Amino acid sequence: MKKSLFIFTLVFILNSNAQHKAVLYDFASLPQTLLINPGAEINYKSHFGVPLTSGWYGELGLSGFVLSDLFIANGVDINQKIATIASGISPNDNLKLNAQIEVLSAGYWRNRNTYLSVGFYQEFEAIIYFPNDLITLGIEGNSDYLSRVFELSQINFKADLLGVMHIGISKKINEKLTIGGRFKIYSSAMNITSTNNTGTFTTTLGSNNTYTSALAKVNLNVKSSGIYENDLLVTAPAVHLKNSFFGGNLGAGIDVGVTYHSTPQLQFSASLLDVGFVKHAKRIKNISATGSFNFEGLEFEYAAGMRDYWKELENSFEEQVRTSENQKSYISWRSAKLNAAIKYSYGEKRSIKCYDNSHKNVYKNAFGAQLYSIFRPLKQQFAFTGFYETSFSDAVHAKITYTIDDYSYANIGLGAAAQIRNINCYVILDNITKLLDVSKANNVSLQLGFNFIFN
Amino acid sequence: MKFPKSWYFFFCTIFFSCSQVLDFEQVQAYELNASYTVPLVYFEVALANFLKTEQVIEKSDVKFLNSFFIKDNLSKIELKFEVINELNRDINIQILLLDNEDSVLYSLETLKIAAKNLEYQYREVVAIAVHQEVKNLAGIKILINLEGPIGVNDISDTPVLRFKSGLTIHFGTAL
Repeated sequence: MKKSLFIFTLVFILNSNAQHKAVLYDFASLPQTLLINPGAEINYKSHFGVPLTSGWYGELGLSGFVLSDLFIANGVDINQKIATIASGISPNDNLKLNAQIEVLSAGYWRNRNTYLSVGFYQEFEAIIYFPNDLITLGIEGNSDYLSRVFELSQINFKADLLGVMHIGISKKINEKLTIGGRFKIYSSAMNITSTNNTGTFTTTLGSNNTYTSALAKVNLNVKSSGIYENDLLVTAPAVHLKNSFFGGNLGAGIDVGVTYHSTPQLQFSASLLDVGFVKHAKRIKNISATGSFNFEGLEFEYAAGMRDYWKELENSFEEQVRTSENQKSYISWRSAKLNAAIKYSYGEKRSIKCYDNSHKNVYKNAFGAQLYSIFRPLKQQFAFTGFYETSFSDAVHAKITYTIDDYSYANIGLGAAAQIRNINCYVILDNITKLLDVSKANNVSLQLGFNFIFN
Repeated sequence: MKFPKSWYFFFCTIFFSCSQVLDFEQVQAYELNASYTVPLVYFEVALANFLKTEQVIEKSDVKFLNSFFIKDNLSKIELKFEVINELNRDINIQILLLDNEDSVLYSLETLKIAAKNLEYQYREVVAIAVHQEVKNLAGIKILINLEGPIGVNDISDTPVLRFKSGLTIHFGTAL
C-alpha cells in the first residue's frame, strides 16, 4: 500500500508540477525571469506577484528508465522488469526533484536605471544517484558475483528544503547593457547529504576458507540537519515550514546576471545562480563509518577451550570499521546553476511603452540558443536548448523550445504569457510530446503563475 | 481581446494529458530472489588434538539469520564444505545447527572423509519450507571423530585436517 502511495505521488508530481526553466528563461519579461537572470531587461514600472501563486515551479527528472518500463501492464513479470532496469542503469543515472513556491514577489524602478526586486520562496531540491552496484547486491545478492567489486562510492545523494529571502538589483548601464545581482539568505529546514564516499565490498574464493568477504577502505558519511531533533525524527510538516523561516540553519548566496545587445537584434545574456552555502548548526545528526575489514569466517581452535567466536568477530569488526555519530555543524554548498543564451530578434517591429514613458522598438519574433548547467554532487549536468519566440500582440507572447539534456534528447517545451489589464499570467509546459503518455517521459512539467504588472 | 488558439491548446493538453494504463499493484508480485554467500567456519586440527580423546567438539554463535526480514524471506540455506584430510586416519565430522539455547535444530549429513583424501567436498541444501525451525539458526557445533585410537608415536606436526565452509542464504518469498 505504501509503495503504491509513493508511486502514485511520483506520477502525480510528474503529471502536475514538473517543469523546465528553459522556457521561462528571458521569456516575455515575466517577473520570474529575474530569478533566473537578475540582469534581465524589465520594461514595466513595477510588479507584484499574487502571494503563493505567482510562481509554481516543479521539476522531476528520471534517467536510466521511465515509469512505464516498470509498471506498464504488458504481461511481463515484474521481477523480469526490475532485473532489466537494474542491469541497464549506471551510477550516473539519478532521480532529481526540484520544486519552488514563490510566497512573495515584488519589484519597482527605484530610479531611471535601477530596478529593485524582493521576494521569498520555498524550495525543495534533491538528487539521488542510483548506486547500481548496491542495487544489484540488494536484489540479486553476491552469490553470482564472486570477485565483483561492489563500489560503495556510488552512494551519492543530497536533499534540501529551505526558504529563500532575496533582494535583487537590475541596473541598466546603457541601452545595450543591463547587469544585475541578487543577494539571498537561505533558511534551511532540512538537509541530508551523502557524498564523497569511498569503499568496496568484495567476496572472493578464499585461501584459508572457502570464501573471503572484504570491506576495503570504507569511508561513508551522512550529514543531516533538521531531520532529527533530540534524536527523534521530525515528521510534522509545520515544523519544517517554521524552520524555513530563519530556523537557525542559515546561509547566504548570490545570483549575478547580464544582458547585452551587440546590435538591436542580437542579444547575449548569462547568469550564475545560487553561488552560496548554508551553515547547518542546529538539529544536526552526522553518521560516519571508516575502516577496512576482512572476514574469512570463524576460525575454530579445538585446543583452545570454549571461546566466544561470534563476540570476537563483532569486536574485531567494531575495532576495524569505526562508526561514529556527532552533532558537529557543517556547511553545505548550494547547487550553483549557470545560464547563457544568444537571441536573434527579427520580423515586424513594434513600439512598446517603457517604465520611463519612453518607447522602445521590439521585434515580433526571435530565435536562439540557451545553455543551462547545474553543479551536482557527482558531476555537472548540462542542457542545451534551441528556441523560437513570438508575440501575437503587445500582451500575448509564446515560446517553443527544444532541449537536449541528461534526461531526454527531444524535450519540446511550450510557454505562453498574457497580460489582461494589470493581471499577467503565464503557463509553461515541458516535454509536450510525452504528455499523451507521461509514463514514458523522463521529464514532464507544468508551470503557471499570476502577477500584477503596472506600467 | 482575442483569446489565442495556443491557450486552448495549453489547457487541453493539461486536462487531457494521460498515460498508458499502469498497474502499480504488480509490485505486490515482486519476489526477492537474492542469495548471499559468506564464509562460515574454518579450522585445522592435527592428530595431537586427539591424543586424549577420539572426539573433539567446538561450537559458536552464528547470527547471520538474526533479523526479522531475513527470517521472513528466507527460502533455503546452502552449506558448502571442503575438507583436506592429510591424516592417515578416517575422519567423521558431524555438523549441528543450533538455536540460541544450543538445542539442535538440524543435523547435517555426517561427513565421512577417508584418510589422505585431499579433495573432499560436500554441499547440503536445507529448504526452509520443510525445515521451518532452521529460521532460528543461532549457532553451529562441529564434532570431529577420529577412527581408531592413536598413540604418542602417531603424532607428527606436519599432517593436519583442514576444514573450510561457506554459507549461502537464499531469499525467494514474495514481498
